[in-house]
Amino acid sequence: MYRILIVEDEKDTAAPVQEALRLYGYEADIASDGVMGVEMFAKNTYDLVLLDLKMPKMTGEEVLKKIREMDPYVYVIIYTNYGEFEEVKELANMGIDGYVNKGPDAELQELIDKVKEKLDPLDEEGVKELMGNMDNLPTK
Amino acid sequence: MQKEEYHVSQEISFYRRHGQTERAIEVTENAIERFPDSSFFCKILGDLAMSKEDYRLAGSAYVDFLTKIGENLRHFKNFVNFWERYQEKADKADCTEVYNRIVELVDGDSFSVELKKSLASVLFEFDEKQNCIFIEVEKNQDSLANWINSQEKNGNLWNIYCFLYWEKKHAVHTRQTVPRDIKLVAIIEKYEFYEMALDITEMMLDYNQNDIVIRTLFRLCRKLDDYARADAYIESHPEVRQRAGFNIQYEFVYYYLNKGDETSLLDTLKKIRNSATSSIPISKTLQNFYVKLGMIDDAVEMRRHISQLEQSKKGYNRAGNKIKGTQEERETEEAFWDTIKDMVSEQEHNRQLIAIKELLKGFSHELGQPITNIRYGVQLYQMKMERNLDDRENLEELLDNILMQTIRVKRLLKRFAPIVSSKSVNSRFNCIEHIKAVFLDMQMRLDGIGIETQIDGIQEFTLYGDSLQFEQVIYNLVSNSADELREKDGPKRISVLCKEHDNVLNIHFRDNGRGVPKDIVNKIFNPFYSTKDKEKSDGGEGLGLYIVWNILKMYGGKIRVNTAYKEGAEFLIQIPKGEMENV
Repeated sequence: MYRILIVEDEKDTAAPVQEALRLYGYEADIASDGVMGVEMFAKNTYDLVLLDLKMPKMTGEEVLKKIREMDPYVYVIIYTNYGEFEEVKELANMGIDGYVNKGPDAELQELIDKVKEKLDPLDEEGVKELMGNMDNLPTK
Repeated sequence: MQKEEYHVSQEISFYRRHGQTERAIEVTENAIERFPDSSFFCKILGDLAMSKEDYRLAGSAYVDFLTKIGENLRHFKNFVNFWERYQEKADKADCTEVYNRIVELVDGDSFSVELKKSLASVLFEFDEKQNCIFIEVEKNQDSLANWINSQEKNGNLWNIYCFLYWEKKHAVHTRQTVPRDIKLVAIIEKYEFYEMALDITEMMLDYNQNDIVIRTLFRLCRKLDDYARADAYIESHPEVRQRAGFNIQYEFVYYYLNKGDETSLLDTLKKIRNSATSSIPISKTLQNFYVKLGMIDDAVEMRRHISQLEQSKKGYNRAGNKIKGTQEERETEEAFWDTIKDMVSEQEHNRQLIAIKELLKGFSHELGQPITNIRYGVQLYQMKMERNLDDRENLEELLDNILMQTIRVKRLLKRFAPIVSSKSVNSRFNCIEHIKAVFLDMQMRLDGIGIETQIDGIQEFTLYGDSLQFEQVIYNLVSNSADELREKDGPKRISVLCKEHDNVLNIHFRDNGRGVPKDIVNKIFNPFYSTKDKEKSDGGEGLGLYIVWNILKMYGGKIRVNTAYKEGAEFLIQIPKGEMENV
């Protein structure tokens, strides 16, 4: 089972994200600030990190730096407001694997899809769809 | 080029291509008459004459050309090319004729300074008589200044220009020539041959590192608006930064300003300031730097310092010119304060713009968060419904959560009530009593943290306005201090000292916490700027001091952090008495 770390200071935002990820069969932990995020990342093995940028104690940027020192390959998806998009662009060269909007038009499904895209590029349905298409290939 | 001129030029080049040089010259001469301002046809005529080996005509055409290129030196290169060819082909007498005519025009002031200089760079070696004089000046070191003086006195700048180019080509610079070279560079700089002066200065730096030479390097770079050579020098001689002389520090101010190196800039200003205690000119320079850099407080302080110096100087010579001096001083003083007033209002304007931007940014973040939370909650519930996982308990939890989020929005909006409330009741009130009332209200909370309080100073100061708004100012300040002191060990104290000066109430609000870090002093009054942990304290969204600032503004008052106070934090509040009637 894939394990995901949610680094997010807003309890009410993190909780539904955690639960939704669980619904989709992922294990998910919450770190409620950057310092805790780095600690938890060092202690456990994670396949993907969902990282908020605006946090007390340690900003998302600093967390990203620390995580990249420990593991240059783990997936890191930034999720934050569109308003902070400029900052996200600056982070791009520090190695991020994606970006999800968390503004007032946020979609939980979009977030799940982004995670799935990284961890399960081909899920069961995808495989089925692919196989179905192959069945329908024109035969000579 | 104009359409007509273009046609004529086509015609000329037609004849030329077909070997009809005579005809081409004729058309060109007509064109020169028809378009007397155009230098172009003079050049063509010169070139045609050259190809026909009519050197007399070619020479006069190019002299004509020079009189017409005016300020535009883009075409000067044509003359340079011409002169090279001319010296090869034409005989000495023709060359001398052209040279003499140009010198005549130079003396008759027909050319711009830039053109004269350019001409000197091409013609400086032509006159043999002059060359002899130059060699004489060169040989006899002491005569340099004398010779330049005499040329200046006769208004003969041409000779000076030619000499400088001659020097550039022939002079040898060694350790022994440094004293002379310093004088020479000063002359070169005076005539604005900055590149040339820089070349010699760099050579001098190989032998001599004294303040004058280094200062010259930086000054020339400043005048050229290109610090590349200074950069290179500083990189190979980093210790130069520590030089203490005022003149060299003065150049460093411009250098760091150009580099955008604020730390070094402030450091340099501090160094100048430490040495400026008794010199009026240095103090004035420093004051002007502060004005230029928008450092209003420092500029005002320096102005006061200068006034004191001027006062004490007058004590020594209170002779006849006292009245004139005083008036001059008064005028500069007035001009200074006018500038400062403009700067303050502009800064205030910018500050307000930034504050509004910050406010909207913070607002959209703070309001966006609960919306996101509600959306996530609802969308999660929908996901569960799709999977038939919904139950009553989940739904109740979701609804509770949504209500919670709306309360959060409400709380945020309520924080602005002190500013936007239309229910304010204006009256006259003794604000000192209201300060005491706030402390009394908060007694329980302060006792709980173990904070001692103290209120000193005047017992009465009347304000006109909404007393509840005024209380909010004190409440927010006390509340911040209480949050700060909560974690502190040892004695905890908040004190208020009220003084009156010229109908203005000065409140010194202090706590003995860690104080406001210098790097955030300018930010703490911005909306949504917070260093607090949201979970631990109530509020913490960074609105408290913004609200304080706004309310005080309504009272015509202001607030700032006293960075000089070292035993904690000190806020200085000023509220005028008179303005209250206007609210």
